[in-house]
Amino acid sequence: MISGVGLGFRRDIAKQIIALEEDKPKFIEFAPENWMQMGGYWRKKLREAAEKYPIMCHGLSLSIGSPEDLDFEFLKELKKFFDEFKPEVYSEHLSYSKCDNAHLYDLLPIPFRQDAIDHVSERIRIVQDYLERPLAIENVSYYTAVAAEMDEASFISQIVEKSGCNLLLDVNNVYVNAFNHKYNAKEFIENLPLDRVKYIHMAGHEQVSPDTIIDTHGQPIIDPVFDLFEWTIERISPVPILLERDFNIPQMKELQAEIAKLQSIVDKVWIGEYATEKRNS
Amino acid sequence: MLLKKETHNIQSKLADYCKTGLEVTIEGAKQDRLHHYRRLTYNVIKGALATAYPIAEKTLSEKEWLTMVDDYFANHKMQTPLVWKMPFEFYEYCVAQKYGEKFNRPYLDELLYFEWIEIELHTMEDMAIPIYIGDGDILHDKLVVTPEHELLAFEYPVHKFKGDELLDKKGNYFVLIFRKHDTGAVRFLNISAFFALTLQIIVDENSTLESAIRTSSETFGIDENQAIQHGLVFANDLVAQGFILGFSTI
Repeated sequence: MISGVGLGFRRDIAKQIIALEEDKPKFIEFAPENWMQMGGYWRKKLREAAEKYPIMCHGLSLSIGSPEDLDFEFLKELKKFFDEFKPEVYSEHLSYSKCDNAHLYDLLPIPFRQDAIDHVSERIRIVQDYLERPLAIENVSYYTAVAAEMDEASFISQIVEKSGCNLLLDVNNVYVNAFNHKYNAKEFIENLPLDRVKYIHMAGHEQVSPDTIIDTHGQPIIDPVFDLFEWTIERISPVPILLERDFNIPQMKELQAEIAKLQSIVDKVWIGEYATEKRNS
Repeated sequence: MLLKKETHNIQSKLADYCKTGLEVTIEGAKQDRLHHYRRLTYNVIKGALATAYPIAEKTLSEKEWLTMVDDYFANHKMQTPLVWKMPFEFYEYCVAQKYGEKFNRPYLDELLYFEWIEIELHTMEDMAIPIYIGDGDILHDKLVVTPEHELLAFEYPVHKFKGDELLDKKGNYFVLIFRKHDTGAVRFLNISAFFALTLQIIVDENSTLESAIRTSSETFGIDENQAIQHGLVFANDLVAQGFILGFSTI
């Protein structure tokens, strides 16, 4: 069972992550789609990383919310990839990135509707059966709801309940959505099935206008998101935490400092003050 | 299907809007926020294509490049779930739409292909390499070459010249492009028609260098002994560059 704080494995920092000897992340996470069907230099690097770190996979193109049929050719390739790299957790976004037989390569919001719940839940069950592993779905950031008939927390909760899947709770996404849609982040989290949270994502964002934040993964995590994180993990059992950084990637020392800050919160909440003091002594 | 047609239509409307940027009214959506989805999806496509085709992007005017990108995103249904493979679909789309002719840039298809094949060879899955040994007779033993390679025939020397410098250089050009087995780096070599044919025979027919040169010499009507002397220099260079890995054991 993986625990502690991990780091997103991106090409820009792949060599550095592989070379780290001290203050290493506890695990790495990558998108299978960015490494599947690859050989050569990058495949070698991925293998080197997989020998050194436990693996999590966070998908991009499953498009669990697509209106059309699942892509079984893709699932077959995914299964083959997982057989080789054996990720502890496979997670995906609760969104759609393919529609009417065209991939869009970004995350569009699924209408919060009952028929969408039934449809997505069935697709999750099929995926879990096919891959023979549980799927953790991530609450995504969204900039407008579309044709919603219920709130987001109800939508997510019912899908988790109906499909039997796990939840990847992205705390930054909760913060971003609460800001953009003017709701209370803590109330939102309290309304989720927290016993199903198996993984947490943390990241930075960018405020682009007085009433809009974009989930960029391009900045450091801000203090209010750290605070929300601490409040959240007080309410759940220990799970792995990931620091995501996809753009404006800083020096490794800065990322290690962010990881250390997350780890100190984790230690404080899940291990206790005594452990933190002992670690520091 | 558990999803209602109405919900499907709403999802299609948002996806179509992302692809075209054409104004749309979507039930229950904040109209002033929709543009973020167009911007985010468009930037993924535009960014991936600029990364895949940096020379083509620089060679074309901004208007020409964006016409291709916009048309592609609006009209083509991207099939691959792997974003790194998506630019190949862009190449195929551009060939089908005859942008080279439309923009009076007859070298465009070849330039796009040359840029794509560099990515493909760098990234493609590792292919099986036959067992080989390091010592052998380069002229008479069967050669083992790196399997991740392609022999290209161009009408325009897109591997040597840029932009409109190419317009008056129409001819026959041959390029060997391959992935180095040890480092994974991609190398390309400008080669003559004679050696392009010789390499093709070695690879396709598993011939020795001598046998391939004899066939090529006959085809080109050139002196065989002289060709063998040049061939030895060429082959030794290919060993040094990492294309010829060694000698077959079977």
